[in-house]
Amino acid sequence: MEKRVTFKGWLLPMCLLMPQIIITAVFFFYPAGQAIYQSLFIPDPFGLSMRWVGLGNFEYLLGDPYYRASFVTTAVFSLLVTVTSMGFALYLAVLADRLIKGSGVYRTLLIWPYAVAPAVAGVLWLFMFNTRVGVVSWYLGLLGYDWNHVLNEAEAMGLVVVASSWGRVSYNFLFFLAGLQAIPKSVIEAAAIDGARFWTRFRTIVFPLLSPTTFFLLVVNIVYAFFETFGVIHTITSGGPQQATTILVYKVFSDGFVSQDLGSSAAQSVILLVIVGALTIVQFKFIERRVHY
Amino acid sequence: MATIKLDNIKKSFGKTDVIHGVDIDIEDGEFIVIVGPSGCGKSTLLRMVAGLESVTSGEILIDGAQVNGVEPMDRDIAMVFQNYALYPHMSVEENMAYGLKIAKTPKDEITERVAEAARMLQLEPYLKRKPRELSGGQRQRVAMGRAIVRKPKVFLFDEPLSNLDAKLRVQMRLEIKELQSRLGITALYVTHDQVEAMTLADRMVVMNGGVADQIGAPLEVYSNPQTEFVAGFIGSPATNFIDAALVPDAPKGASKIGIRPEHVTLLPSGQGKLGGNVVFTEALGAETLVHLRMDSGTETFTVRQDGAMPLPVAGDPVGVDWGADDEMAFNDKGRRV
Repeated sequence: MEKRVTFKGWLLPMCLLMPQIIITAVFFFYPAGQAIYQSLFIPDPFGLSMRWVGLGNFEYLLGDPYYRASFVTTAVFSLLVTVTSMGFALYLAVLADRLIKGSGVYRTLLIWPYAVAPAVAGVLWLFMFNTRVGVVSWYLGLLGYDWNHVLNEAEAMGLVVVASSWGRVSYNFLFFLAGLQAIPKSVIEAAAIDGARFWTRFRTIVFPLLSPTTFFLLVVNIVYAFFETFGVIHTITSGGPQQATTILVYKVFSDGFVSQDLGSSAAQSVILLVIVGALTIVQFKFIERRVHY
Repeated sequence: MATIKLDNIKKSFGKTDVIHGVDIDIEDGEFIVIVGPSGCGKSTLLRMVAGLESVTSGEILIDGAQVNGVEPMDRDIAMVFQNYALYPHMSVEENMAYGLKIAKTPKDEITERVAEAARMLQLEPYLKRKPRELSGGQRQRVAMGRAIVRKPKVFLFDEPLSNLDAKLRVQMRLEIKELQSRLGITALYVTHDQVEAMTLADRMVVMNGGVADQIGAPLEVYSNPQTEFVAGFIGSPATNFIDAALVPDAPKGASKIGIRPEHVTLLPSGQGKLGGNVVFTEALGAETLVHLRMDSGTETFTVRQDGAMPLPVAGDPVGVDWGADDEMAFNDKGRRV
């Protein structure tokens, strides 16, 4: 029996689809097209004229040591964010999975940070670590540690990584917990009877069976670290000190809107578009064959 | 090889008591089947022996040593689960070798023992396959293999055959029995299927509501049930129960008389101990089951007779009779008089 709703004409389905198509066209296809178009030109500083340069913008970018440094920064940043947020989330999920009493409260509390917008999260962490008035930096000062992420590049990177990972732990936690609870209890019990203690069980049974979830989260978190952490970086470090936290997406903004180099900024957007496209393909390929054990 | 002793085992989940003191003494190499309806606590009892559930009170001894607080991995037991609980990401070979690898058994010994178990269970062609590429019966064999290779002191089976179809179940039942007696390993087997219990057990434990109603050899339990529950649960079709007041010459103190269907003979109406009407008959070939409604009103009665005998017609009035030796009298608490 045909269970799907089928339409006779084409007018009604078109009307129903139109809102989504319009939104996608206005906010995605049009800007993406504009970016590709603009990446081939250099505008004058006042935006009055544009000069055709072909692939000149790309050529310049790939030869630019600052842009290549930003690639490295992005790689380090997204690796740290992904590992931190996933590692911590997995740890909490394993604990929550073993919890019998009060697990509901525990889970609810763990999910809250996910509801905080990245920019707000950034400000929260900035307050805590503010060089002059921050609570944490004050205590660190008492311990004899002079915290100054405004000057210290490693501290700046550390702070944006922590602030970006924080809300992400909630999201990853949810998926890991669901993944853990999908593992049949009897399999774990069988392993226990076979002689495997907690850590051996985790390494040889739980983690391999969790691999579909882990892989999914890996892709999603890399995409997050690449693109959605703009708000955190903008509020905490603005890409500094010395471009130490200027990841690719932040460089698009600072080169385009701060330095007014719209051609280069557009070219950078196109490069990011290609990267996110590649990641999406990887993700879809993976979802097609979800079970791979 | 081991003896197991359960000494006044009790278990509660929160405020709910599920097992109210069970004592069982299991000898070395014995095959013990715990049988009972769902919710009687039989699986919980097994899981306590495995160390997967804590013991609320009482003692479990394996080979004379108390194991109450001992982790499952330190009890030297092997368990076969109802859903087999195979490791889905490992091949058949890796599944069977897992426990040995953890025990740091030398490599060539692992290969040898896995090969031996695979030969015994006819799993040789499937060693490289993943569990999802196997049929239910093959998965069941892998679960058995995983238990065998470790050469444990005790085998625990938690309804291992209930996910198989009827034909396979009969076949696997024979294989389990044969394997266990060949290896001589003490086995504790939980099932709700009384046929499995009767055929497999050296001794069976009939559980009812968290209590071991009767422990004994299958035929002894069948022919001499100690409680009304055991008489009704063991045997198919079930024992007929009749209000003792209706039965002439019922023993003193009896409130119910139980009588097995095969001990009843049908007589023409007006003869025998009781009278009734035929409701319907089930001709199974070798035997015929005749269902009666008794003259007393609500009580029903099943008679099992040879398939060669003429079929009674539904609605016919008949009389029933049985030998006094076949009567099982129970008091108002369900205990045997």
